[in-house]
Amino acid sequence: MEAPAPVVFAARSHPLADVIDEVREIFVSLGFAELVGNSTQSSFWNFDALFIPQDHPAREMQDTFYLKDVSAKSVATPKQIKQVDAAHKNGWHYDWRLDAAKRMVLRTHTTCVTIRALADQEYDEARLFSIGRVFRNEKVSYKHLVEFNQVEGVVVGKNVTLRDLMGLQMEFYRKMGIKKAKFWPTFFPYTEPSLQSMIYNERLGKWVELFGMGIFRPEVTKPLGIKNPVLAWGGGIERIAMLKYGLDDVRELYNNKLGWLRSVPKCQ
Amino acid sequence: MVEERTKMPVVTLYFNRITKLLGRKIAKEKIISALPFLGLDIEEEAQDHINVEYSPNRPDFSTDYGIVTSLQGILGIKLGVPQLRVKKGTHVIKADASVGKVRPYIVAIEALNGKMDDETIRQIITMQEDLHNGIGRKRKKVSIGVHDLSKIKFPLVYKTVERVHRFVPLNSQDSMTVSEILDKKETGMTYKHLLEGSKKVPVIVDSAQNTISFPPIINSKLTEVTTASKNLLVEVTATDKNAAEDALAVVSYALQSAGFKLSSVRILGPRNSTPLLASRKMLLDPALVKNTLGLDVSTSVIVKSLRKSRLDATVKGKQILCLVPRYRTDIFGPIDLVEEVALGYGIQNLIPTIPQASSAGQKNKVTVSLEAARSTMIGLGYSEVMNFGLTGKQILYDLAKRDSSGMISVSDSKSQEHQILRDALLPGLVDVLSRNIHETYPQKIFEIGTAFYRDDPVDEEIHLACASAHNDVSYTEIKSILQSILKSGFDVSTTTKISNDPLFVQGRTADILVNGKKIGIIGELAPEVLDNFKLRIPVAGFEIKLTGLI
Repeated sequence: MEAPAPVVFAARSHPLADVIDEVREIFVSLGFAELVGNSTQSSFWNFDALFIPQDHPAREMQDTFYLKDVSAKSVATPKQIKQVDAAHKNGWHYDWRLDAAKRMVLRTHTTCVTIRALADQEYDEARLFSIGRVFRNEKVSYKHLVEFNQVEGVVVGKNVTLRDLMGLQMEFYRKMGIKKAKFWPTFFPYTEPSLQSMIYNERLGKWVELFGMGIFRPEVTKPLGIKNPVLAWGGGIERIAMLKYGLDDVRELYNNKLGWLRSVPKCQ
Repeated sequence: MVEERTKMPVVTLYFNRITKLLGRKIAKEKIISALPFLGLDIEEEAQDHINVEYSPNRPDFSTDYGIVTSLQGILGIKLGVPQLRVKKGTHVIKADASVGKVRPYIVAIEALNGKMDDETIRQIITMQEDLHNGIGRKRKKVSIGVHDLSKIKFPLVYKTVERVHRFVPLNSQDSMTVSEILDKKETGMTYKHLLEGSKKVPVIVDSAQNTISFPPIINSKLTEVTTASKNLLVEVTATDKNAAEDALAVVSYALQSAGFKLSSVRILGPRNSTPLLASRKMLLDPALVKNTLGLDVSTSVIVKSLRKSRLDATVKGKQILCLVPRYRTDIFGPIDLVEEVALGYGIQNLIPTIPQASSAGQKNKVTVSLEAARSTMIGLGYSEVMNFGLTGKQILYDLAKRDSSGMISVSDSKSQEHQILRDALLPGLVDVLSRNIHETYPQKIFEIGTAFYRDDPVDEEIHLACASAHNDVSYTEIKSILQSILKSGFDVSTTTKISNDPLFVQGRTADILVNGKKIGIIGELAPEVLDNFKLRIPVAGFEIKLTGLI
């Protein structure tokens, strides 16, 4: 009666999937509708539509995965192509090339999915989000993976402002159980102004970087016919999972060690 | 939106230098806490210095001088545009028509009567490197040469020469030909590709016929800068005139801050001209500030904020006329000025507001179906695992004995394990089992994820794979799971038709059909595959395509 019984393990979802689900539920509770899109994208939507010039260092093969011998036949409407071409010519003063925009990449962010939806649907007002895998060509380390999950939210509206963007972050963090957050300026090629948020982690006793955010530049929105301001923010989900499960090595999330998967408490 | 992972350039700030340059005694803690509000990331903190990372869109942050200029602004020590004072010089550089096809543009400036210590030289060298990588796009677009002016006899000629042309390059004792430099010197080997396709190469030669520079590769030994150098010549060669002036502006401001007096160098020759480095005028509508930041403040507050960001601003009717110093190459138009207002005002002073949601949120219907499929698999006793979509050939094809003819690979991956996009999930599950042989059995796992196929250009399908490993595992057991997930999950009935697949034991494998169409495979894993994965326990599994069912 008092001896321990044999151990059985409950079948369960992956702890990282739990965090993804949690993030998704928060976005839905804040009134956001979910977008899904492909992991393989043309350079046009991953870079060009976001005003990232074709000679930008982030587009080099040592940072971005290009698919070998695979090119998109068509990438966008003739009007979209023409306008993006003009935006690059006027802003960066170089000859923009369509064949470079047709090269297929593993998306480096989910912003390509967001921007395409905004360009194709011409929303006047919207709250959208997407969660998905993104890819970076780099050495795997305790800090970095070549493939990870990113979440991204956008708000389109006539009167939305940077302070609203900051408020949405605070609301999101509050729902994640994060009490203290602050904002610093940062840089993204496709947003202006751009900020990054720092959140206070009680366990580590220090501020850690979380989401990047900003308002899409006119050089991004105007050529694609997006009339109202677009607030955008996002970041890696693995970082949130590491904080939640107290991990110091991001690789542990994908090691699929049954010992760990079976031991992480489901209810926390 | 994910932060760039490309390595950001780093600047070292020594507190004693910063204090001197700031022109006012400011507590170290105050300086450190102000830096992030300029967009600088603190990388390392030590007793006497701090290392900060900056974004290459701010090339003026490539020296401590540039960072101090901005710090002075947000700390309220100095406001408005720092004046660039350039005396009109008499020296001339003539660009020959021959450079037109290789590297058409040249600009230059002289920096006089300066004193350089080791740290000043180090700051200038790191600036030069950062500008080469950023604005210069690894010297392709722009390269910069800094020379000891006293060794140069004007006028200079910028022209092309044959590859047998020789001179003594930097870090060398002997005269070398251009070809030798490109083949033997480190910078030659690194950057020789930039001169591919042109037989002749660009050089700058002085009136005594001494070669002083071989852009974009290397300077001459003759004009090497040392702590004894008091007068400098900075030349910038480029394939883009605007980028050349960008770089020259950044260097000029830094050298002026370092205590040099600037003197212009006249540029002659086709498509070339003497750079002006003048501040740019730009109009800002205060309504854009209000609408973008959500900040309703008077024009005088906007003007003061811009001046704290080291721009000049004056009210002109309903608009604000701004003057943007030439080194601020990151400012394209009014929206960039709005950010300058935010930085000058202080991001910490912006109070977050919460906009009301006008619509109800919703998950994508694909997500809803997949959540249901996941919970059904868990209900059947299977635990979820997560593998990468970008994986290695060994696991996917070699060990699993699968056909690799439709493989999609990526170019130049830095990692062996991440070279190809998976076209199946089951090999990844077998790999998970092989890495858990010391854990308690039974082991029952599943994964739902994307599989990739060549199409027009790529077809992405969502797959479900599952595997069961224990001593009594059988085809029947895994087929029960398959029937159950398809029935309870998707309300479809399935049939199986015996088939052949090298992944499975012959005679213990079948195609999975729904409405007569093949959606997957099922079976007991072949002993050879188990051996390849070092598994000593039998495994059964299946993989189905969910796209089409959901």
